Parts: sequence; C-alpha cells; structure tokens
Amino acid sequence: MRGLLLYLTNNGSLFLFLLLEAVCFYTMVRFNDTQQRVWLTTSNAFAGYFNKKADDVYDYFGMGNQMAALQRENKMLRQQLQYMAYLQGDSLLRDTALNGNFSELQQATSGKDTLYHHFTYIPVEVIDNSIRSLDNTLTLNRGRRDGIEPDMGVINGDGVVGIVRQVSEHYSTVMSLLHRQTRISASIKRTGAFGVLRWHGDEFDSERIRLEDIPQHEIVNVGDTVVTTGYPLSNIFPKGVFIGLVEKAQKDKVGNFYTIDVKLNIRMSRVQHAYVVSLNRRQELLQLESQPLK
Amino acid sequence: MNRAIVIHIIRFLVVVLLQVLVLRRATLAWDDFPYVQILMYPVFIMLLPLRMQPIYVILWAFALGMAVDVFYNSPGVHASASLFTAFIRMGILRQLAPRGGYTATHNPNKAALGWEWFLRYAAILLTCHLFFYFSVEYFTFVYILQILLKTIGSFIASMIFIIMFVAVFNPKE
Repeated sequence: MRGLLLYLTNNGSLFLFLLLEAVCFYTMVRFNDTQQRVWLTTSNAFAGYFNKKADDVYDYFGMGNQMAALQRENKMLRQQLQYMAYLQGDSLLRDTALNGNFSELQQATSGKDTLYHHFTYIPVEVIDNSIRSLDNTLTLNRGRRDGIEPDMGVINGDGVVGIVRQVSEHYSTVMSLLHRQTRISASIKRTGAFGVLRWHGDEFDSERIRLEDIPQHEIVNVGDTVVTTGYPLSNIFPKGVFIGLVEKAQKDKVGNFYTIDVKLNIRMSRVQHAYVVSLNRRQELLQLESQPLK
Repeated sequence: MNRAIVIHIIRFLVVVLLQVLVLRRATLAWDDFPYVQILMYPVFIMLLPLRMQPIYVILWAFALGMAVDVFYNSPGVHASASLFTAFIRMGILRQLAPRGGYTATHNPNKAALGWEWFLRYAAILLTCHLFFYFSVEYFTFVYILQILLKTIGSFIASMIFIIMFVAVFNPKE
C-alpha cells in the first residue's frame, strides 16, 4: 500500500495528466458533434464486429435447437405428404412419399395436383428480431427478388411468426405476432369455431396472445389447440398451422364473446429460420376478391 | 511568491483574451481556408517557470485549455491539447538543458536563455501542440493529410504571433 502511494506521488503528474485527458475526451465526445460522430461510428463498427462474432458462436451452439426444430418440421411435412398421397389414393405417390424421395415425388406430382402447388414456401433467415416493445418486428434476409411481397405470411415449424409488411430488393420486414396491428384469423381445432388473434402488448408478454371474437355459445376448454383458419381475409397463411394451446378462457361480461389467452407454441425470442408463405395464384385471387359482387 | 502568481494570472488573462477576442476573429475572416489557424495561447504554458511543480503546470494548462474552449465552443479539444503540451514540456526542457544544466536564474524565456534557445523550445512545443490539437479535432487519423497541412500552416502563423508576444512583453519570470 505504501509502495503504491509512493508510486502515485512520484508519478503524480503522469496520473493527473491521464486523468484530465480522460475528462477532456469525455467532454469532447459528449459535447462536440464531430468527435461524437467519429466516436459513435467507430465504436459501432467495433461493436458490430464483435456482435457478429458472438452471433456466430451463439449460432453454432444454438444449432442443436435449430436442428431439433427442423427435424420436427421434416416429420410434419413427411406426415402431410403421406396424408396427401393417401387422400389421392395414388399408390405410386404413396410409396414415394413413404420412401421419402422428394425429387421423385415432385416428378410424380408435377402438373397433376393443383392442391400440391397451392403454396410455395420461401426459406428465410431472421436477421433482426424484437420481442420487448409494443410493436415488434423482424427482418428477413430475402426480399422482392426472392418472390416475397407485402402481406405474405411467415411461419416456421413451431407455428406462425408474422406477416410481411415492407419489402425491399433483398430484405423484408415482418410485423411479428407480437405487434398490436397483427390480426390473424384462427380457430379452435376441435370445434372449428374461429376468431381473431390479437396481441395487446400486455406487460410485453412474448409467450401469450389473445384470441377474440369466439362466441360464447361455443365450448372452449383449456388445452384446446388453436390453429390458423386460412380464411380469405387472411389467406396469407395455409390452413391448420399450429399456433398454441388455450391457457385461459374467460367469458366477457359485456358482449357475447370469449377472451381467450393462448399460450404460444413458438418462442418468438428464438426464431432464426422461417418460411414465407407465397400463394401461387395470389394475384388472380386478389383481383377476383377486389371486384365488387354483382 | 505572491508576485509570481499575480503575474501568471495576468498573463493568463492577456493570453486568453488575445486568443479568443482578437486571433479567433482574425481566423474567422478566412474561414473557407481552414489550413491557417492562429493558436498563440500555448505560449503561456511555455513561459511557466522552470521549477514549477509538473502537477501545477498541468493544472494551469487544463485551466487555459478550458478557458479557450469556452470561447471556441469546443469543450475539451483545446484542453486536451494543452494538457499534452504541458505534459511533454518536462521532457523537452530536460532535452534542451544548456551545457552544465540550468542555473538558478534560468527560466524558459527569451530574456534568460536567448532567442535561439527560446525559438527552438517554442517550435518543438508548438508543433506538438498543433499536431495533437488537429488530431483530436478530426478525432481520427483518416484525415492525416489535412491534419499535417493544418499543422504546418498554423505553425507558421502561430509562431509569428508567439515571437511578437515575446518580443513585445519580454517576460522574465
């Protein structure tokens, strides 16, 4: 301790110099435009570089989860294929589906089945995501060039992610499920009763969403599955995409509807990969729907 | 002792007022040609007594820089350059010690050590000061060419005014 004090007094001028320089640089960066700009740009560049590195590491360690999600998704798709093949009673198709050879299946179905070609799924990566504000958004690494257009739905193996809002050449922004303007038509799978999914930003809870407009004469149980309806109003999602389970169903005191809390299956904080759902004959459908009824 | 402090305070005021009220406005006149700026105030740091404690030199320099910054509306920029100048002053003085060392009457000014010594001393300190000042003004070495050009241009102009100051007042302590 005495040694330290001695050292400090002997080098007093050096330390005073460094201390006052630090004060100067702080005031400089704090109160001068030029220096502030340079400081921010430089520190942002540094921070960006290190964040990128950290992201890479996290990506690597998160791979297990992603892998599991992809496997779940694959399993689901496989099941759907089998189911479809079964529906069509096409033995060739069924066998191919069971054997899981996708290119053969594609050959077998091409030009045959309009239902199969109803939707296209554009794989995207999430490059920015927020869950902690009232209106959360995501940014995707694909844009107009890859066929993404505003109002398309975004899903992944765990459920609905959001709705595309703005599209640039190579990127697009997505209004997340956790956005106060999001309206998604959803139904109780067991009964088929449908309502609208809305997020109210309640306590910024990223795990729950509210299902509204289900009439009180319907029976809603805790634990019921909630899926998308795929109805025209929101024909941006295919039918039956899993959203979550009913956690709490309350009858409104005023009005005739339920207020249902749905526990989301998807963890919005962990979304890294997703698919943009593109309806193949979207233009045709939009045009038709925009014509007045005669 | 008291006399010395009074002299320093008066010199401080004179230098700062000359700098911010006269020289700053003169520089503003050729605002679109920024390579020549007149910074005469480092002369105050140069003229501080030889045997003044380094800590006090640094504190004086900080006060000087901050006073100039108030008028230049650039908090911290002149102050950091002044601090730097005050800090290296010790080393420069050691390097420039005349053969046989400084005597008791020596002070870093023209009256005690002559024009030749003083000009060399002032030139070194002023160059360091200007280079440091323009570096922190840009805050990046991306514009190293502009920094050097400004240093050279301002060096010539500032040196003229420092010589004039010393010739007119001929400070002795």
